[in-house]
Amino acid sequence: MSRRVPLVAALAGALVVEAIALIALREAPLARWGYVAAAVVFAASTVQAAPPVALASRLAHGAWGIPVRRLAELCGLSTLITVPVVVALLARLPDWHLRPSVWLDWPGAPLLWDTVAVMLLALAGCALALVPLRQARSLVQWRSRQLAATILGTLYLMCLVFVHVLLSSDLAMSLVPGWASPNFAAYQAVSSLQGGAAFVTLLLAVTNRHAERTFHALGKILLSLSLLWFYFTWSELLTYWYGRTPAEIALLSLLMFGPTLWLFVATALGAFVVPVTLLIWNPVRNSVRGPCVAAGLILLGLLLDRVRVYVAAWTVAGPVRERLEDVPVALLLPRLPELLAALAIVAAAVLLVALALPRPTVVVQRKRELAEAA
Amino acid sequence: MSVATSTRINSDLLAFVLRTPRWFWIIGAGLAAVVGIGVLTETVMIVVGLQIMGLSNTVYWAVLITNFIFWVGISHAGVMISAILRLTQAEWRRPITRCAEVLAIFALLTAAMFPLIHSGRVWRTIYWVFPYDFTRNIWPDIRSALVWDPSAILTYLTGTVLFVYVGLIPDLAVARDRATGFKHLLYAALAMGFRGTTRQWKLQHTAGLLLAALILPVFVSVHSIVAWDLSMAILPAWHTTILAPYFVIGAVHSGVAGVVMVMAALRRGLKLQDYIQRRHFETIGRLQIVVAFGYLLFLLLDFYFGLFSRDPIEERIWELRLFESPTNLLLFTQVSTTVLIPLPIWFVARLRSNPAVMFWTSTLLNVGMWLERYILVVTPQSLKQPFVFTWVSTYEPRPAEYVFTVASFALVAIGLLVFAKVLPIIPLWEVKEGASSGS
Repeated sequence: MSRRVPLVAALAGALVVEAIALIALREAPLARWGYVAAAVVFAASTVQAAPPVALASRLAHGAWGIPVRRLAELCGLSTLITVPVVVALLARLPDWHLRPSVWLDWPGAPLLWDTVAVMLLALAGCALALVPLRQARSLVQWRSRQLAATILGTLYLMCLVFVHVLLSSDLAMSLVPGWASPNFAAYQAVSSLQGGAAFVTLLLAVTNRHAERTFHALGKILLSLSLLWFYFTWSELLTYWYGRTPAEIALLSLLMFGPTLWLFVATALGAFVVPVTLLIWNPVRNSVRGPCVAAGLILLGLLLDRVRVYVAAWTVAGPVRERLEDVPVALLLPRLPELLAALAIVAAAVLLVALALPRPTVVVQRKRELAEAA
Repeated sequence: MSVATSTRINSDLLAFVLRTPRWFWIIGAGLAAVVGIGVLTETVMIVVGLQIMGLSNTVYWAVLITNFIFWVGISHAGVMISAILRLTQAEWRRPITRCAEVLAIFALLTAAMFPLIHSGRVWRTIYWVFPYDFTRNIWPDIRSALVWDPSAILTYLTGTVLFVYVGLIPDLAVARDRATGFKHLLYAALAMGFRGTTRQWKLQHTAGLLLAALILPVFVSVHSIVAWDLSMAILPAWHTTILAPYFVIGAVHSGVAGVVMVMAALRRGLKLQDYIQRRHFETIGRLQIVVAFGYLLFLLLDFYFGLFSRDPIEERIWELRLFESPTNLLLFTQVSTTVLIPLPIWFVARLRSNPAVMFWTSTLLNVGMWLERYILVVTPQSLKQPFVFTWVSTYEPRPAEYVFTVASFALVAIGLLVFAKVLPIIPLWEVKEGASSGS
């Protein structure tokens, strides 16, 4: 049996579960949709944020990136999974009249324009994953293929950052009265690049553990992006901490120190403290296992971060007000439908990439060499 | 690497250090005259008071603080370029690292002067550091971002000087061996007995790498703290979470352009075409494209989220910036010169590798970046009268402020010129290392 058959079955199963769970959630209160939003943004911050790793290595002419470029670019396909869910989430948003938006009351905003943006991202992702598939038969062809990958990668990165700005503003900030932080949009984009690098690291660990040089380079990237995670979080915290307006006190309470305190602490540990502590040591960073452990922790940290922000935002969503008056004591725990929907979204995105992956020829080759040597 | 190549590199790069052309005195005198006018203006201001500037009750941070932010920004990319390229072992860094680092030092020293000038009574700044009333035990408030500023700048300055000095030691040893008389004594003292043994090279290399890694967080923190000077105040358009990263990316944008300007000027002035080559401009141009996109993103985020908040004062500030003269002209010039004009030019590889094109686009860019700082600092203050939401023309720069601005450029230029005269502005050992590795 082809290795693809179980993958296709699993993907179909995940999509069916996702559809059933979303239908079951149709009449559910807004707070429960927060988990779906968190899952979509988590997928957009990990699997879908992988292609920029390939672009970085192309732009820097880094040979370290060769084993990982194709893997990273194929992750662009996962955008197909999230488009319908984003549309469902946008349709579920409460009354839009006077609600803040980066679209500034354009007709059809945000549903129409956000949908156009995520579809553009999906288009760029598919083009990036599919166009360079044709085998190059000459140097000219090879060069044009590289150029196409660089241009499409740049386009994809721009769309990805734009979509993160939209998701962070329309699915999080606009729901929380008094929250208008440009830094949060940038934070989400930067942390998604961190998640993308972490996902690529784990993907490489699964497909080709012998690319030591690539793991070392990814270790450096993860270290610098983890430091950036702290920088953006600190900028947000410090400005609100010093501002101390009633709206800012409520925001700090909602997102960092109130019902989300433990999620915030766990995020900080997973996305910053432990990875930086590990990767700052040369022997750990220059190993294969070190970057992989750090990548796993970063993904866990980002998952908790997205739950922290999006569940909190959807919990307090309501009529447009100047500031948040009541901060909930605790966040709503997920029930089966939203839990299944969230799991299915992430699983479907990963399975689609797994389905598109080429045969791990390098590993096979290496095994053959080892067998011959033995 | 052959002995002949090494000798040629030594004589080429030490030519300006060991012989003084006539233009050095002419340009040096011109720059010194401009700096002298600046010093004279400062003296007048100490005697007469701050009223020779256009400050008012509402706008009391203006051109001088703009200059401060601008020069701190310029100082950033110098060290950033040098440290990051050293850490990533980018071969093309070799001829440009030192001009970047030296630009950082002089820009930072110039920046540090402006808060002192701005204070009006320079000598009273001592009270920022020490308690001014011993009996009541009053100290500066360490929770204030204004107090973080001097410590951050001094840390950065110390780190940068050490970073430059460690890189200079092998070149000082070469200069010592070729100089005579007083110069020989000076270079011998500064070279600290460097003889080029394996252990000395290893120590120098390790120290350079460690300083590069340590200085990067400091460089980010310095401009962030400068941004927090503004954003910690609850003033619409200042009190925004993005100001720190926006300032840092803007600093990198203007700083890289500053390095390109210095590279092009030195290449032409000191006839260094063999060392600062077209490919260096081409590569740094690529870096500028990436940074320009990052800058554009933050510019748009600042704009969109200013309107997103639906705060009437913030909306009024953007109205003022976008639609009312002369601020809208300044904003248009800023956006054109920082993004719209240079980006399409840099996309063309042939133009990107042309030193003259790169010099002029970078000069334009820095004009735009200065305007950006000015708009960011001044416009929110113009609307900060309570309960007055109309534009009141409260501030217009006066001649003294123009003089300080022009003099600051002359001061940085004269610093670079004197440095290039006294010490090699292109690291000899780095170029030789590159030549021996065939890069």
